[in-house]
Amino acid sequence: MLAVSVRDLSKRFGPIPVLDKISLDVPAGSIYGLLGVNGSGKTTLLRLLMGFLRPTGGAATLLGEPLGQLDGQGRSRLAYVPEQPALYSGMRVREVLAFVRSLHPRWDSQAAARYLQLFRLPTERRVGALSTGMRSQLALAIALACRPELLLIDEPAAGLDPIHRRRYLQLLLEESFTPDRTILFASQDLSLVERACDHVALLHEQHIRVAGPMEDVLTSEKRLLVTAPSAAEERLRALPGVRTLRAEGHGFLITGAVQVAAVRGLPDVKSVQVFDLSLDDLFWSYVED
Amino acid sequence: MWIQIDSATGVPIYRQIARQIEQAVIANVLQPGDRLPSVRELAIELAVNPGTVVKAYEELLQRHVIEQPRGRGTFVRGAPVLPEAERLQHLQQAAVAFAAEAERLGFAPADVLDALRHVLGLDERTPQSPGGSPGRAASANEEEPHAGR
Repeated sequence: MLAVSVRDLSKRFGPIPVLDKISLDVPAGSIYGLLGVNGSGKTTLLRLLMGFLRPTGGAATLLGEPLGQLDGQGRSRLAYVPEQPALYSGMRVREVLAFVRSLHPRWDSQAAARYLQLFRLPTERRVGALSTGMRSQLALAIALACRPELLLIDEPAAGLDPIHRRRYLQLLLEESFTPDRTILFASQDLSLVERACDHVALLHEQHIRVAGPMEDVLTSEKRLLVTAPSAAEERLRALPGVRTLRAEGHGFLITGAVQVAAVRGLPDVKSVQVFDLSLDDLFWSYVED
Repeated sequence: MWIQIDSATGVPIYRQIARQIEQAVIANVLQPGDRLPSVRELAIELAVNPGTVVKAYEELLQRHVIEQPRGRGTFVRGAPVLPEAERLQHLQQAAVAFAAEAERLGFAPADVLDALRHVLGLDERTPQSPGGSPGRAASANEEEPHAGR
């Protein structure tokens, strides 16, 4: 079962392409991390999914319904936490909760009270007087109290100090155990994604570069440190599976799904060291060149 | 929780968790029969994906560090049992490192072997006098047989 399925989705802002025919499958129940540098289109994708923007082309389904076809009832199965939540700054925390509660059929008051306590949010304070971190905690608390099946978060834990960040993540992970709950978040924080997610996609320059279960993504390619004279470059580059290659010390650093035996078999190759890829290595190998 | 996750090391998170539990068992901080947290509890506590905890526990099961009697939870079983090949490999690696260090310090092979014999308690040329020298040296000697094992 897929919570989200995106097919050839494109978005242009006037002449500027932001997403170019991207496809993405988010399995139900997963914690899916959408990685990308600033301006890579992560927020645009989330806003397209929420129906705040109209795609230039392509299609998507959310919780089994085509994009834009979810009615009021259906929409209450979704929740979205933007990077800068638009909360009513003149209202007190308590009043905001009462307001959302009146609008939302699936609202869980007990859960809301528990989250406020967990985050130690002052219920009498006006939202405008909350710190950035408190505001993002409040936004998460509100989104979770709506009991969504699909929760979209833009830059979770942004602006939080390490302690609050941990509490935020702990709540997110705890809530991920709720049956049929899918969490899709956009982030530029590699360690956060590596830690919290079981699936990952890398969005870069309008395209999805790599996507899938974290484990598959991390094991499908290796990093090879090859000792060989510079004359060997062409032959190495021609090997099947080589995605990036650059000079490094007395040889080359190769990233890709390469057969190590094939590299060792080349005439001028003196030694080959094989390394596992971390999410960090993988990210930079796509973003750097 | 005493388990620390460090994202900067490049070591996969599941392995960091497995190693730290294993170290705690070797150091007797965790003892056979001790109950470990459930996957859910540990995932939330450490703020990591539950799949990562499952993988860490799988590795510890394979190394006989923990056991999971049907449906009753996760318990410490004992220090890791390494496959024979891995045991030999560890010994080999330690020997290579030791030999390289001794060579760097300029010792001849005979000196290196003497040092090793001494550590293993096989040194017959300098028998230990009963009562020994007081203080630090004596207590250091007492600890050696344990450290060497």
